Amino acid sequence: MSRNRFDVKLRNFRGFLRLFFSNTIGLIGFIMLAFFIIAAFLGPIVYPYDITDVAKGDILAQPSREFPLGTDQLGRDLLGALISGAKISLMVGFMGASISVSIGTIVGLSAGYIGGKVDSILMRLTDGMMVLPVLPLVMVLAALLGTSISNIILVIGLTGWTGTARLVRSQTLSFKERQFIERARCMGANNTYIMIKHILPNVFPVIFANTILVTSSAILRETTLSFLGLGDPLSVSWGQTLNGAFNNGAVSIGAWWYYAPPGVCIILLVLSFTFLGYSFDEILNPKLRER
Amino acid sequence: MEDRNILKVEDLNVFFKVNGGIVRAVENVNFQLKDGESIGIVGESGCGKTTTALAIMGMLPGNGYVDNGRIFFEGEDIINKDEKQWQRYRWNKISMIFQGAMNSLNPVMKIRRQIGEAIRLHNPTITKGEINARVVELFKLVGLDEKRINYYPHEFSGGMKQRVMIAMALACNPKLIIGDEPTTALDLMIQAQIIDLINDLRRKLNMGMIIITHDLSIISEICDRVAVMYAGNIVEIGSIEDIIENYKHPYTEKLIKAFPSIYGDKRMAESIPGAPPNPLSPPKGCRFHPRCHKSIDICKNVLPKYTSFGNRHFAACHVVKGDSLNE
Amino acid sequence: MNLKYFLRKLIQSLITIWIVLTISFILFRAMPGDPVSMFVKSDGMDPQVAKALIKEYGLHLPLHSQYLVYIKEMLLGNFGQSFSFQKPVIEIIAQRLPNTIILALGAQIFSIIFGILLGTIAASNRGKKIDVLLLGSALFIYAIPAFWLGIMLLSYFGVRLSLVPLFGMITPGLNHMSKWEYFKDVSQHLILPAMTFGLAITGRYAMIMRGALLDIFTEDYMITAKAKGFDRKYIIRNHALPNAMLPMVTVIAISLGFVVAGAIQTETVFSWPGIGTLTIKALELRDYPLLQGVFLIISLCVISANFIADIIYMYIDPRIKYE
Repeated sequence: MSRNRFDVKLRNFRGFLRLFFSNTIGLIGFIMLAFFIIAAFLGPIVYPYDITDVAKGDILAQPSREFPLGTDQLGRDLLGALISGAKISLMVGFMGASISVSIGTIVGLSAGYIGGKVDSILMRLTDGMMVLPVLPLVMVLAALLGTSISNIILVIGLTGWTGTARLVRSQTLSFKERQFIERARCMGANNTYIMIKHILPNVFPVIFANTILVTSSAILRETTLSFLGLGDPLSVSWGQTLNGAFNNGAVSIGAWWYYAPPGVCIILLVLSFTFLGYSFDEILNPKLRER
Repeated sequence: MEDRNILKVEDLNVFFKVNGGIVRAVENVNFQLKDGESIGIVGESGCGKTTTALAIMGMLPGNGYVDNGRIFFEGEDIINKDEKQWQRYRWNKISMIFQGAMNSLNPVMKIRRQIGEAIRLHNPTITKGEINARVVELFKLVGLDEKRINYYPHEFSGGMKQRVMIAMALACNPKLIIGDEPTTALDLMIQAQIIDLINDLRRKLNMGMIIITHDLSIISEICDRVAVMYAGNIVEIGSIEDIIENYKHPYTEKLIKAFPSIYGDKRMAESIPGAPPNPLSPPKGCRFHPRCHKSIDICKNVLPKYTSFGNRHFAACHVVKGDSLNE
Repeated sequence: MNLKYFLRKLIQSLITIWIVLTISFILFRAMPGDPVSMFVKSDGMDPQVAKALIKEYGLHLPLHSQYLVYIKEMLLGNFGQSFSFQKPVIEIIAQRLPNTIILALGAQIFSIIFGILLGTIAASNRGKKIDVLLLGSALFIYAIPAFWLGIMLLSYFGVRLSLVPLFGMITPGLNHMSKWEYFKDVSQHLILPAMTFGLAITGRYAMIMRGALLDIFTEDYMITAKAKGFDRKYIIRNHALPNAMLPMVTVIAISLGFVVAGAIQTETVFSWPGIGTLTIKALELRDYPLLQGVFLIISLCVISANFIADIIYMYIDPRIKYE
């Protein structure tokens, strides 16, 4: 029996993969993301870089053989900074998104399944959070908690869950009245059990597609925070590099190698998630296919 | 005889291009409508009723096209009109009452404007005062309170919305009105009122009418003639009396027996076994043969031709044959 | 006017304001090591001043009383004294807020007009080259951090081509002889920031407009309009657009938080003397009363704008007006 079930799951998964890889946009997104993941993990081994290294090159030097992307105002190598930024962006993106999506899923599931007062309180809270201007809130939180990378992940995670909560709630509502849920309830299953064992697996595909979008907005948010000077000064993220470029006059002297590459990397990484999200949506949500 | 037809549909084929191939939604459809006559087209959903109507309005969706056939309106072939010509002809000559008036009216536009814009489009020189007077006149005609011309659609009940829809269809004095399931979404009492209204208007205004429905009882109350459609073909056509009391085609028989009679014996309505064919690959021969209780070998391979039973009553069936048509 | 709807929206806004005030209280007062009490206890603090501050903030009271005092003060608009400017917070904000409103309003008007226009063009040509192009650009713009877009525009139009001033809102040292000259100077300074800010939101609005229109194109009343004999242009303009405006108003309201984020980034890049740069300054100087004031004012602006959008919605959707 369990073996049978596994087979079905495996077949579904294979079908999903086949659909996914036949989708050009999804494939492009996948290749782009894979590139960044590989760069983040293999980059530091192939191309060692240490932020505390003192200046090796000239100050704000143009790209050369020794420094393929030039140097910053302290003469530090910028390609190394770029590679190190990939890891931080991905880390913040994935971890921030996991926190957001977990909170959003719990809130959405409880609101949708339990309903009544719980629903209205949770949804008022969600609406309130949605209206709040997130960036100032994140800035205040980051400033008060202190700007370490783990705090930044936490802050981004704690403020980015509202969209997921609304989505999961509406999906839960649509499953709540189905027969198999009724049956489980009649058999004496309690609410937590039903939510986790019966509703969550059905809502999961939507959560998965949503996670991708949440990840990309978490990445953008970290970049913005770091650019505004609220990043972890010890971790070289792309936003941090851009902050350095902006505050050290790279823009007015036209040192494009300092401020252009990190921005291009951010755009490509975010686009890779957008592409993946778009193609997952198309596969998981047949209604969208007609669009 | 010929020139008294306001509408004549000849060998009409309407196809749709879809991913899996070509759907032959309407094939080989022929019928005529005399001035002031009303015809009902009846059949299960997906049989091509609405597609036929849309073809007459020149409003097939993007992937649909007329593969063959001609449509004459007042003797003029309209099938090859360009879009500009179609626009002048729509609503002015032929208008339509849609099913579910609920969604067919624009929710953010006052009724007076929704009716008025059509009047102005087809009568560019008309003044605002004349338009208002016409809208009031139409409201009276369909039994609505003229004070409510400035209301929005959601302020009317379902039956009233359908009256609004009918008033709108009459706005430009069309020669022909197509009603696509005009009473389907309404409850029975309202349905009866709307049917009375349509009959009343037909007597007063002497227009041609095509009623599309799956409900034979509505057709029997409004229409002079009936065309029974199955899987894109008209299988039988004739006067309402001939079809109900003297039906020939096995599908018509099933269809009539599927409706419970209020006056008849207390018997269960019969259902038709099987399901309508897949429109992508309809069966060879007579399209009804897999579900037909009378089918014989020839039905499986040869499409039956129409035979006549007199009084413009025709059916296409191998088993039940009348006089062959001499063409 | 539908009083019930109006009151419901008003109460919702008031609840949201209360949530914001509470969050702010928790952040600035109730958390262990909260900034206000830290400040009072900090070294070198004049005991007299410390005493006055303790009294002003009610720090000697139990937490729930502090909360009540706090709510009262905030509702009276008394956001306290800025540490670094030595002026009431409300005064500093009042000075800066109009500048942000000029920037945000300029960008909003630009992006609403272009967003609606481009979204309509994309939707009416769905699946064609122009749609793919517009959709692709919108996705691309969405992926660009607003501040980086600002940097790139600045480095090209400001530094390389020297077409526009590099920073600020007016040219320093310039004596503006007339209102017109002042207006000209501000406009020149405004072009790049407004463009940066506007582009970022235009993509978003265009995508939403496109989606709303595609939904509406499948509605039955669109078929009715076609059957009446109208051409596509007329139908889109007179039947589809008024209906598409309903979701647009909601979306514009919801994305106001996004607008604030855009303002902060844009102001930072172009040194625009508005609320965004003030926030950054307050953060850098650890000026907590100012930071709290800025946070509350921004939230209040967003909540009020949301409320206004709800009221506009009531006027353009007849279904609510007569409900």
